[in-house]
Amino acid sequence: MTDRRSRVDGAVRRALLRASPLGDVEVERLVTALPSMLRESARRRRLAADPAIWISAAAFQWLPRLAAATALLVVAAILWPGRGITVDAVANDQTTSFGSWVSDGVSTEGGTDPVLAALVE
Amino acid sequence: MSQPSGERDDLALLLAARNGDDEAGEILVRRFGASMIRTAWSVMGRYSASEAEDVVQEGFIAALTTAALPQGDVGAWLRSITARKALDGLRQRKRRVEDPLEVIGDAQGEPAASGGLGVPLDVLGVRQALARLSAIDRAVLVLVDLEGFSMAEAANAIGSTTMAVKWRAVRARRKLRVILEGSDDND
Repeated sequence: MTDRRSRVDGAVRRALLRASPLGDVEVERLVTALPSMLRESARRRRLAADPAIWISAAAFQWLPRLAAATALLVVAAILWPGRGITVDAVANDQTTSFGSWVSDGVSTEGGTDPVLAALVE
Repeated sequence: MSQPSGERDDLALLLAARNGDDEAGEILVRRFGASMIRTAWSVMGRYSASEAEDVVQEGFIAALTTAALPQGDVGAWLRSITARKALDGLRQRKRRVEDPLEVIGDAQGEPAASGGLGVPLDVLGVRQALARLSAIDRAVLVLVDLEGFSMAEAANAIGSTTMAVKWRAVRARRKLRVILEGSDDND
């Protein structure tokens, strides 16, 4: 306690005490409200103990964020600058590969169809 | 280290009240309600009885709901919860608590001084000075300089870091001293 008091600023403490209400503080209204306080705390404890409640509370908190993040990812994927070129390139490669595979059984990717190769031979 | 019997009694009362014991709850309210209201007033910088009672009710409900137990003085623990609730209430309402005129004009429900006199001018001056601090600065000063909490305990009570509370305490003390010295010079 001596340690605690040594940390305290005496002037600030005196100021806080001086600013306090001067008369006795009435607590009768708090006493009157006690049954409702006890009921409310019991209700909150029940809520805290019910997993369905906190799961739904967490869902309410996180679902909008997940939805927003997903929407951002979708928009970013659609608007990504290199995306169209990549698709075209793949499509061209695929066409080339299919054409050479039909004509001589060898694709541009190096793969060979053994059946077609035997027929051509 | 053995606990003083009074503290043990308070803890037993708290546990009984959590189990729905009206009588234990009433003793707690009568024992600590007034000091909790004073804490709420000090942190809010407003001396309205109904607002302070709302804060204290929220504090009591939180103390009865949580599974956490006070590590020492039950009264100090209840007052630290009250300080936190007062801050939460101020944040929610987004009131401008730094206006000193609001404090003077909003003294409804404040208990009158003995002799029926109004609030003395020097007390109003100190309240004005405190009202010029932010609510969180007032909460730090109340917990550290009035309740004697350590910086870490105060930080835990108001949901901040120890470093932030230390910095706030130094700054708020300096600011309060400057304001009070300025008001003394004006008198």
